Amino acid sequence: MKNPYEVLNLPMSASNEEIRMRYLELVRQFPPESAPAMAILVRAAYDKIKTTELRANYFLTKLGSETTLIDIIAGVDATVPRPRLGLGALVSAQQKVTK
Amino acid sequence: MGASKLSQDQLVHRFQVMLSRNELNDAWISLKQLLKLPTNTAGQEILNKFYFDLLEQILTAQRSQITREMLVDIPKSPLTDARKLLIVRALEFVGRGNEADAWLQKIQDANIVKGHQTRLLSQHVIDSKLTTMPPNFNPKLWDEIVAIRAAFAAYEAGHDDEAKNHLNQVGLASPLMEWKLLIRGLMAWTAKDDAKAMDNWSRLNSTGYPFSLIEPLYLQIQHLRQLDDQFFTTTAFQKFRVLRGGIFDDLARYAQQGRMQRADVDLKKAEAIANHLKRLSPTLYEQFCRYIYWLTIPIPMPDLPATKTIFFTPVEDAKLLRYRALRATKQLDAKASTLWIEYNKWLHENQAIVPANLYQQIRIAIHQEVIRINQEIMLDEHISLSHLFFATRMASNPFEEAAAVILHQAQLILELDPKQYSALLTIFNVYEQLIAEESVVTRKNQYIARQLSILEAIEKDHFHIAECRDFVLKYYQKNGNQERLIELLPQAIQADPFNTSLVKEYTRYLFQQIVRCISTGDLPQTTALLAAYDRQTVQFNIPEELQVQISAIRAAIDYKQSNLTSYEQRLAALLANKERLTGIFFLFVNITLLKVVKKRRDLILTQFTTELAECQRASQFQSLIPTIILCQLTGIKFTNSTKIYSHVFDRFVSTLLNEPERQAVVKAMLLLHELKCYPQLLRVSQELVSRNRNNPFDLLMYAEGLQHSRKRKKLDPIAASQYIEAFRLFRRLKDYPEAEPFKTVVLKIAEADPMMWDIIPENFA
Repeated sequence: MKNPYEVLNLPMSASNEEIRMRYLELVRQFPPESAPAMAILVRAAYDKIKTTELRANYFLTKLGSETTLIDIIAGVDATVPRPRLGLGALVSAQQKVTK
Repeated sequence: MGASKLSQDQLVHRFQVMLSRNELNDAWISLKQLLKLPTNTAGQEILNKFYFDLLEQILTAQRSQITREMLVDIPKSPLTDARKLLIVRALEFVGRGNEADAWLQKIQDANIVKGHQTRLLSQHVIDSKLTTMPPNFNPKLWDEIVAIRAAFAAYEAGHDDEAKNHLNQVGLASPLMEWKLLIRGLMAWTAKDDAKAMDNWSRLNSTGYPFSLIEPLYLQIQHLRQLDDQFFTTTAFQKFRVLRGGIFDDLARYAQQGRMQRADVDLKKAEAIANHLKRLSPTLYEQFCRYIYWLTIPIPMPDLPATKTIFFTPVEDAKLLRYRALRATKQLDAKASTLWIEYNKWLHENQAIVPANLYQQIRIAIHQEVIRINQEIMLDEHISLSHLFFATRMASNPFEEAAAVILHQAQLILELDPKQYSALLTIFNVYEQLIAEESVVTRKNQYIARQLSILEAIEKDHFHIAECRDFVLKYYQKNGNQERLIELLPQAIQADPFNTSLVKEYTRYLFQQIVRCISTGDLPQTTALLAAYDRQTVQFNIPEELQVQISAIRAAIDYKQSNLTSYEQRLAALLANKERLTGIFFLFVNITLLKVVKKRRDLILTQFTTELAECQRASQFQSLIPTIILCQLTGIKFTNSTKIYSHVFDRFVSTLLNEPERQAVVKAMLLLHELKCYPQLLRVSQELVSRNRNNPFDLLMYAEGLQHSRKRKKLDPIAASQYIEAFRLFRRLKDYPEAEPFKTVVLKIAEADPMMWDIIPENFA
C-alpha cells in the first residue's frame, strides 16, 4: 500500500494549498465514474494529510506503517530477474501444491 | 484378512473404510466380492456408484493393474455420460485407445467430450514419456503438441525467437491455442512485459489446466497489490512460493504468518531476510525493516530485548523513542507520555528530519497526545484528576515534583499554541490539588494567587468556549460567588441562548440578590436587579411561585413609593393566584422589610393568618415552606418572625398529619427532607410510624429525622436501627408503590454521607 504522499506524488514538505491543488488535479484525472478504485485511493490519501494537524499526526503515528509484505514481494520481483519457468517447473509446482 | 467370509453389510462397510483410507487394493477386493453377490436394482445402483468412485481414485493414483482388472467388470446397466467418460479414461490409461474411442462416441454431452479431448491434449503436452503418436491420434494435432513441447524447451533455454517459430505452427483455431498463449505470456513475463503477459493470459479459460499452471504469476502481476492478507493462504500463493523459491519463499512465510508468534525466533528470521534484501536493494531493505518495525510495535515484551532486536531504525526515529512511545500508547502504558516527551526533545535536536512547515505542528501533536494518553489512563482507572494522577504514577516522585512536570508540559503547550485552553484547565487543576495538599500558609497563598490568575486567563480569553464557560461558572458556584455569577451568566446566556438551565440558574441568583437587596432596604439596587430580571426572563417559562414572589416584591415597592393604584392591582392579582398563601406571606415580609406603616403590615398579616387557618391540604404549603426557608437562610428577621415561621411549620405539620392523600404526604416529606427541615420531618414521620410501622418510606424519613435533628456527627444508634428496619422492609415488599421516592432519598443519603455506606445494603440500586 502506498503512503498518501506517494499516492498524491508530493513531498512531505507540501503545504495545504499544494496538497489541495494536487488532489483536485488527480480528481479531474481520475473521476470516480471512470476510475473508481483510483478515485477512492486518492480521496483516502487526501483525507489523511489535508490539514497540518493531520499531517503532524500522520508523521507521528502512521509514517512507514503502510508498507506490506505484498509491496515488498512486488519490489523484490521488480528488482530481481524473473526465471525462465519451464514446463517441468510449472507442472511440478502444480503437483506439489495439489498433493 | 480374507473378505469371503464377510456378510454383504460387512463387505460394504469394509469397502467404504478402505476407499476412505485410499487402500485401493483392499477396496477392490471387497467390491469384487460384493459384485458377485445377488442384488436388486437399488442395490445394483449402489454398487455402480462404488465402482465408479473407486475407478476415479484408481485413475488419480495411476494404478494400471487394478484398472485392467476393473475394466473386466464394467457395470452392464445404462451409464451416465460422466461414468462413460471414466471408462474412456481408464481404457486410454491402459492403452486400449480404439475401445476408448468407441466409448467416447457413446457420450451425448458435447462439452464433456470437448473437455476430455482438451485434457487428453494437455496430458500429451506435459507427459514427456509420450514420445510417439498414439495410433488413434490426429497427426496434425500431434505435430502441434510436438511444436508446443519444442517451444517450451527453446524458451527455457533462452531462445525466445526459436520458441516463437515453433509456436507459429499452432493455428488460431487449434485446441492447443491455450498452450500457445501460455508460452507467449511466459516469454513476456520473463522479460517483465507484464502488460503483454496479461494480454495473453487473460485469454485463457480460467478453469482450464494451462491457466492453473500460470495462475500464481497472473495473480502476482495483476492483482497482488489489491489483494488482502487472505491471498497468502490460497493455493495460487502456495504455487507462487514453490515457483519462485528463495527470498520469495521466505517473504511468503512471513506473509502467511501475519503476526509474530515467537518474537525472538521470528526476529532472527526477519534479520536473515533483511540481510538478503540489503544486498538486493537499500530501498527494499528499508521497506522491510519498516514493516518489521511496525509489526513488532504491538508485541508485549520487555523494552530492552525489543530495542536490541530491532535491527533497523527509521530516520525519523533514530533513537527508537517513537517506537517505544507508540507501543506504550497502544498498551495504555503510563510510560507513554514520558516517551513522547523524550521523543519531542530528541526531535527538537534533530529538526532537520521533519519538513520545516510541519515541525511546530508535530510538537503540538505530541503534547496533545500526551494529554490524550493521560485522559485515557484516567478513564481507564476512574481517576478524576488525570494529569495529576498520571504525573504521580509516572515518576513515583513526591506529588510536588510530579506536578512540576505537568505544569512545565502545560506551559510548553501554551507557548507552542496559546489556543490550547485544555492546558490552562490542567494547570488550574494542578494548583487545585497543590492547594489542597499544602500546609504552609505562604505557599498555599502563592498557589491560590497563581490559580486565580489562570482562572482570569480562562475567563478572559476562552469564555466563548463552552467547556471553559462551564468550568468558570462551576468554580464560582462552588465558591458561592453570586456577584460574579450574576455578571458572567448573562454573557454565558448570550453565547448559549437556548440553554434554559443557564437562564434558570441566573434567575435564581437574581432572585436571591433581589431578596438580599430588599432586606437591606436598598430600593435603587433592588429596582435595577428587577429590571435585569425582566430582561432575562422575557422568553423563559418562570415557575409560578417565583412569579408570585416577584409580584409580592413589586407590590411592596409600589406601596412604599405610594403607587397605591398599582399596589391594589398587584394585591388583587396575588389574591387571585393559586399560590396566594405564598404571595401574601411574601408581601407581608417585604412590606415589613421596607418599613411600611404598621397598620398596613398588620392588615396583611391578619389576612395571611386567616388564609393559613383555612388551609386543609398539604399541597397548599408546597411553595410556602421553601419561601420561609429562603427567608431564614437570607437572615430576614422582623418582629415575631420566629413565632410566625414556627406557626407556619406547625400548621403545615398538622395539615400533613391529616392529609388523606398518601401521595401528597410523601411529596411533603420529600420537601421537608430536601429543605433539611429535620425537626418537622421527625414530628411528621414519628407520628406516621406510630400509626403504621410497616412503611419503609416513613421509617426511612423517621431515621433521617432522628439522625439529623440531633445534629450528631456519629451514627445515632436509634436512627441506625430505624434505617436497618426500613431497608429490611423495603427488600421484603414487592411492587412497593413508594419505591422510587425511597430510592431517591437513599441515593441522596449515600452521596451526602459516606458514613451511611455501612448501613445501606450492598447492591441496593
